Amino acid sequence: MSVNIYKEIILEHWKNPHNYGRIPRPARPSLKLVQGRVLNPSCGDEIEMTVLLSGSRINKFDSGEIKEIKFQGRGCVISRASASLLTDYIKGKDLKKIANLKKEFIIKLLGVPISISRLKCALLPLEALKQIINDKKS
Amino acid sequence: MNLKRYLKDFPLLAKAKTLIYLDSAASSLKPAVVIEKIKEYYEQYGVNIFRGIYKISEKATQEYEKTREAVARFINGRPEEVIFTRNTTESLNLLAYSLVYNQLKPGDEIAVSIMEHHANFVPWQQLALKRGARLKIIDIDDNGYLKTPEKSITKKTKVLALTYVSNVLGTINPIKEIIKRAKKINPGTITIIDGAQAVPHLKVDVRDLGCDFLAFSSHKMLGPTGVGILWGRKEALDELSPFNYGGEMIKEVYPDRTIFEDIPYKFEAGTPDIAGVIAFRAAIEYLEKVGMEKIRNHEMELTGYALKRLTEEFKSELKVFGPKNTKDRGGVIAFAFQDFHGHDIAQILADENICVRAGHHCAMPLHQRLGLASSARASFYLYNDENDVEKLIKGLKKVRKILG
Repeated sequence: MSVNIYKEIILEHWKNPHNYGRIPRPARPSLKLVQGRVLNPSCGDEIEMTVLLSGSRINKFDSGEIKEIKFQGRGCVISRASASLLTDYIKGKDLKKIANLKKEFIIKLLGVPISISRLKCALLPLEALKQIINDKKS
Repeated sequence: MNLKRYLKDFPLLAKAKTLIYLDSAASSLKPAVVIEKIKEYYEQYGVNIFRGIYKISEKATQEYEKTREAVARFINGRPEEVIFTRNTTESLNLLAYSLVYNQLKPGDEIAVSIMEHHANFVPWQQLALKRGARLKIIDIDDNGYLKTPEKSITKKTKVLALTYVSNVLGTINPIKEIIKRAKKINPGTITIIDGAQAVPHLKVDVRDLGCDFLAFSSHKMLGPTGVGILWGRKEALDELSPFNYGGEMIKEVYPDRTIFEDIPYKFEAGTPDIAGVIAFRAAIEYLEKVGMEKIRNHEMELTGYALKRLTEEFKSELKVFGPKNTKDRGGVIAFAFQDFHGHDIAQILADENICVRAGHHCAMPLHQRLGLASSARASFYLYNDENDVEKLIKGLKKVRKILG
């Protein structure tokens, strides 16, 4: 049964999400603020991610350390817990790392069985992160 | 209404005795007679209709046409006014593109309401955008009633497209009155009614309503999926040009021109969902046998019971949208429960084998108007009873326990 998706740890991340909010525009030119925003059309949920980058080639955005990351928006337990866990994981890592993150990784990160109908909720934060890379390319 | 009599007719309920199905507004369960009829067609005369000069094709054609007659009888229309489509959405798109598209001039107006399902909203919005027409949106008040719809009707109103019953608020709109007032302001306004949530639950009489068109779906009224209906007043249908071109819809084809069939056939190009249409008659006959008035009364009582019990149990923790008076609402209860997300509510209920829907129910403009991203929705039909409501309440208590 899928009720065990509402494990204590998941509920904790939902009630007190880590890295919740929005990073203000930085004053120092060596830091770059990028953001991504996605909508889940099946329920109208929305997640916005802001990422603060530092590094030598940040102007090209192809790499750079994620100094700080925050998310905000509205969503269910799963999408919010996923965002909380994902932002914890990616903080301090290189932006390049995002491209390699797959569906399976998120499911493992959540550590609970995710049914097909909830997959979109679980993956929404990752999609928002990937949006940042896509924007960088365009 | 003796429910026990009906429960045994629905294999999904008879077999899985623990299933609490509260999602009939999305799609109803099907009684055994409908399933049997599908089997009968495939086993006994499962061939194409029209022009087959052999017995089983003639039988299939007869059965197919009998459904048209049954639909006409059910809504008090005429058989030649009944067009089979795939679903309500297709019926409405057919109207948008065959009837309205070419008539619409820049500056014309289309009136819809904020409570429309996307099927009766997006086609009109897109048409207005493409043709430079104006989309006027009738608002609702705090109780989920339409706010002075006649104010959105002017001499320029080409189309008034309205839902009879809201799939979220449950509001039963006073369609007859609205049409009367709209036609008084502008007799040329084409009136199109989305009956997807109405025809399965209320006695709908198209002559009494005075509408030009009515669209609805078989699968929400005990019938198979894949079958939609577009009913149109004969004079109004004659104005329509075909939407799909191809087989079954022509009289004569020459290299340089084609003479189309008469209504309703000119709108039914290609081989339709024959099995679905044929089995739909079994659904209509089932509903007729039970009686639409009985179904309406049962749902009204059950909705009243649910509203009362939900308030008793959860007070201000749970907010139900739409009219308080059950006379004005169908068996649809959309609600917000504390600040829990609809998906989480539905998921925890699903583990108790309770089927509800969560999301925006294809009514995003309405949810924006209500200031919500999503809601949870329980909806009733003739096979639901007070026990289902109590199970729902028990399930919601569990939601509160887990998420609270």
